[in-house]
Amino acid sequence: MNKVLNRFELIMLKVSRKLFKNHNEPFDIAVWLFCIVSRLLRRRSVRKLMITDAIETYAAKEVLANRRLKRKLYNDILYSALILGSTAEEYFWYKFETKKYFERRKFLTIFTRPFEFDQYMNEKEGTWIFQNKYKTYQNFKEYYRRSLILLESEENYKEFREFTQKHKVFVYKPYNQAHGIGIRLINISDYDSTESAFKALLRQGTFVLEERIIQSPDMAVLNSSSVNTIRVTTVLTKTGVHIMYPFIRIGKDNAFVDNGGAGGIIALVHVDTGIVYTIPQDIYGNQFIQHPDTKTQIVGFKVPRWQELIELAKRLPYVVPTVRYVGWDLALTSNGWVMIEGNNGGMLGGQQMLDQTGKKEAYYSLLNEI
Amino acid sequence: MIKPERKKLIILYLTKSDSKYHVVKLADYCNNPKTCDTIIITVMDEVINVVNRKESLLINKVKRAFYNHNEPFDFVRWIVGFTCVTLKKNKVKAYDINKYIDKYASLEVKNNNRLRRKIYLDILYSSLVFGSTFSEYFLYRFNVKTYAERRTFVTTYSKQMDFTRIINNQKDCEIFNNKYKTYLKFNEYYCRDAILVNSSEDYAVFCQFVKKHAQFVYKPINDSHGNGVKLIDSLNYDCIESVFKDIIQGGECMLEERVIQVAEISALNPSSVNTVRIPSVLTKDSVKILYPYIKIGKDGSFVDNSGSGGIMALIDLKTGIVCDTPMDKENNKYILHPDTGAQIIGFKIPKWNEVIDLVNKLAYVVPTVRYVGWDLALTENGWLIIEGNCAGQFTGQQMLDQIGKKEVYRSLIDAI
Repeated sequence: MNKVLNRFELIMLKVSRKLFKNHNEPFDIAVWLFCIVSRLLRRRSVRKLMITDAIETYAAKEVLANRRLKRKLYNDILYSALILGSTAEEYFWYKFETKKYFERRKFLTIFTRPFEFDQYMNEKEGTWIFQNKYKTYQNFKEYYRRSLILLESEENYKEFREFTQKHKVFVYKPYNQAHGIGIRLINISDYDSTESAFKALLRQGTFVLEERIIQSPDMAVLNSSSVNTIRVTTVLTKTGVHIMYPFIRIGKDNAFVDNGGAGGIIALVHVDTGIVYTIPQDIYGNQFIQHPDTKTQIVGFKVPRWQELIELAKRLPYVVPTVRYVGWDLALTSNGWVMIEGNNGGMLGGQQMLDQTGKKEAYYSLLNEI
Repeated sequence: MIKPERKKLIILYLTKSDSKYHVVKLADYCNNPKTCDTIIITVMDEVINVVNRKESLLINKVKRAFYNHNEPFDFVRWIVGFTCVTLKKNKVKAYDINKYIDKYASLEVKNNNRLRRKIYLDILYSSLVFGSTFSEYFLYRFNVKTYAERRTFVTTYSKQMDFTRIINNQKDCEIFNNKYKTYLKFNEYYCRDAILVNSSEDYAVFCQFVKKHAQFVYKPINDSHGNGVKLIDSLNYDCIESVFKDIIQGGECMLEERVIQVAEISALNPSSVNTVRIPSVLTKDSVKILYPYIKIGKDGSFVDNSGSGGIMALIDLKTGIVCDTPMDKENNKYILHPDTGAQIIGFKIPKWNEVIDLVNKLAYVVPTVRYVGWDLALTENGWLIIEGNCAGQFTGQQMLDQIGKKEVYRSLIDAI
């Protein structure tokens, strides 16, 4: 993550917050001046935000054709990146262009989180457990219900051979990658020998091998090519475990992963009933009432064995109690819910994008209870 | 209570203005002194375009200045609001914006005087510039939207965009404004008996009707939003004459056979007839169907109208699935029906293709009235009309997904 906010910007941020605190909208001139100053002083970090790229992928045709509107949009994105800490993508996910500043302020954005939220929620020692896939496995072995091995160098060949003898088809995951990047399904019989397979895989760096999850047919109805998961975000406080805005993630286009970044479909699930209650969409804003491939109706889908999932989600945070804010990926097998992984920096993109409501207030009120 | 002088003024205004709809409505109710006051109050609430020349000049200037996706500065809003308040003190007071703030605004705003004043000016400003009524301001959540976004909404009084007035022949609209005329015109699609009761001469017809249908639906003839609609059981009365006396007191009305809906839809809420609202626009070569939604009553209420607390939810046009979070006008969201516990979201409307076919037929019956919002109900024998509305009601369509539909409708004007 690019830490664009340095001290200069923090000061600017505080000053402007004080100015615009009482439901005031900034004047156009103020936005314009602010952008010129920050573009002059912090040229490199502004470039890192990659605003023009985001405009080209997300903005409407009308805006792209009109240079004046485009410049205006650019300034607005930059301004709300520096004041509200939203990335260029977030600006479009949350439809900031239609929202006033005091509404935008209700959203919990990526760059404000490290300073205001994660710092208080999660303690640093604990977060290592989640950033390292193998350490997560060691801590949460009983919830994984499947085998997982770490392969670093050629010395690990023995383990690799034993593993492949048991499981012909397995999941390959690069060691320190998020958002489902690089994850794929491997069939050992595609390679000439076990040894050549091992060498080919090791060439791409350290990796993790996992037993394949066979999901229960109730969930496979939605899409069988990917393991469809429920992302449950939990916050551990003195008063207990709070379950925040779970959502379902479904793969499409025969993708093996269901992550939002990989074009997966996401939709919010109601906590009490387990019913999908918002319009399912991908991060580009395309809406899918039915799954495009399987034609199964997603909206109104009742997630099977929902109560079991809630019970599991209430037990999981106590394993590493120093990390209070975790997003759990859970999948349903015929033996019950299993954990896929835990994310200590669980993204709020999905939760806030789907119903276009800022969740800052809901999360910050929990900070007092820690 | 309104002073009689002001009452006269309003009636004068209404007769001068070209708003025929209101004149007709008012003339009916002036004969009936009991309801006259309440009607005038509601008309007052809505008549915001009682803007005199000074104001309209000011507004035109403001509009021009801020047309290009600019936000007005706070002080501009303040000056416009302030001038309006000082110039037309009595009128602005009569709007009673505070009543709406009390009804819809959040607690934070209600308790903070500064925010309250701010939102007051914002409501006034956007009613002058965008022509939104005060309740529309809150239903479309204008308080969180930028001005560029507010401009995309079809509001009740946006003058440049009086969609229904351009697209519908006002004379033929009378067919839809009068419920009995609608019945005569669309007789074959009603699939049920109905009679008009106007004076004591209709007693013989009434007797015949009651013999056939002991329970029937009472509807005032020119009213909308489900006002006054009720179910009457003649068995509760001593004799038929007393029923007739009761009915005739309310003025001109229509009596209808009760609609028995299919079990799947009545499972959502059995006390009301739950209808599907399908707006259609007849263009040169086809019928365009726009943003259908379902309306479900709450327990105990006989009508499903949103004004009476009904729940609404958008339906996906292709599949007939209720696809977005159901909500009522007070912005409460319901995944399950609060009274019956039935799941509304994801509900698949039975026989969806049939209803689309029916609307395609209905749109050609009165081809001069091109925009009609049809209320349709499903019975064992298929879909039938409850009523048609030709006065543009865009609230449901725009409120549910919070997306302005002005551009869509404007493009349809060209396609006529």
